[in-house]
Amino acid sequence: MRVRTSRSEEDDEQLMLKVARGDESSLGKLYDRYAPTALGVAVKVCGDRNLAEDAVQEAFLALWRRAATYDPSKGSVPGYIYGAVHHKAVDTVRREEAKRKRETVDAFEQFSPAGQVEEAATASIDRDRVRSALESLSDHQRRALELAYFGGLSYPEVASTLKIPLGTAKTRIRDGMIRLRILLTELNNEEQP
Amino acid sequence: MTHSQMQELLPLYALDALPDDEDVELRIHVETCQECAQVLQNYLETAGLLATAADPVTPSPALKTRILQEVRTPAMAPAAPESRSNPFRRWFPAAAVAAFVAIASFSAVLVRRIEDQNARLGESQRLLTLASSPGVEVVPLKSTPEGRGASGRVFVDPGRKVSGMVVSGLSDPEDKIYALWVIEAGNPKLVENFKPDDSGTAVMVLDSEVGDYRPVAVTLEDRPNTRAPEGPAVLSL
Repeated sequence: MRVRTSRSEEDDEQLMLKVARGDESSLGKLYDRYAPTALGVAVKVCGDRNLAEDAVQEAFLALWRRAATYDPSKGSVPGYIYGAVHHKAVDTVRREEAKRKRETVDAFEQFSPAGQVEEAATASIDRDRVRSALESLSDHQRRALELAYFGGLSYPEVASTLKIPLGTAKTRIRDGMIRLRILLTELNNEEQP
Repeated sequence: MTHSQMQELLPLYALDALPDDEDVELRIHVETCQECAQVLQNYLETAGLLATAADPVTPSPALKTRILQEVRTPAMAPAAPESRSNPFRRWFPAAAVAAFVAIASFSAVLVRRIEDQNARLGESQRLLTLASSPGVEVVPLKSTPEGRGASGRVFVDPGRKVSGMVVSGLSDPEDKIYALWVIEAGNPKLVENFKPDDSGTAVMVLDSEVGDYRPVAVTLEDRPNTRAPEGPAVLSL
């Protein structure tokens, strides 16, 4: 299953085509649609608002440069954007070594927004489903997965943080990801009419 | 790593949870293995969904302004589609960005940026073959204070010559350029100028005739093709 794309106004793929032709306003529309969630991820990973905004900026600039290479058969536009932002955020913290200063243990609880933010209407639907799926994982799997993804930690760092063997960390993350994928597919199928 | 070991790491790769060296090895493998590439797509989409579990955060108004101002600069002109044959960088990260370098001899340096996918796949295979060749030693490069956060590995063949290099964690050189140097007959010899990909990674395959590995260094230069290193070293043995 894919990250849901916005069904209102122009669809994401049309906007990507326009971005590839150099249309700034289409880039702005994609930004308005997906930047809040993207920044939410980046803030969790970076633990620093400024670094997170830098990661989002770099990802959207990369999107601008590479929009012409986007292939819808390879994945959704938000999936691409979130992946690029996460990659930039992880790259940023590993370069900056900012993670030393962070409270990674509580990564999943931090940086909740003070109020409502504008975002793609479909994002909250995805959020509920993904959080439900995460809750269905074992505590060990969820913890390892969250530290890896939202903490921006490599699996050796996850092992060190949780004080578990490398192989165990690797297995927990991998099995958690596999289980998450299955659960999300099941949830998606249940919603199909 | 074997194919099955690589497959086991695909979920971690999708989460950006691999250490740099394994990340590079896997990205090269995925480029050459259609089976793993297809499996990876699913995991990448799952990772994208995972992102939506984060509470959204309202960006500062200045962020959008900065992005839209930046894209108006000439340097940010979108690349033409035909110049890139491999879709979706994050799905095939190395393909769009890795610079592969081939060196034919001491006197004739042949540099190719691989634009054709088949050739690119061939170079990736070459690096994998090189890394797994009997007797090949993998020697880590150390970052200097100027190269903080960077890391690299040099592949040294049984004849003690540099035959390949993978570097990661390099910062964006912006208008500067990185340079790989070896020492020949007591003099520094420029092997190649290069720029890393957006993740700070560069992969090079070198002819085994080039250079003793011990004096290898990577510097950051203001301009390409300098006769000797002028900028600071960021990595060295």
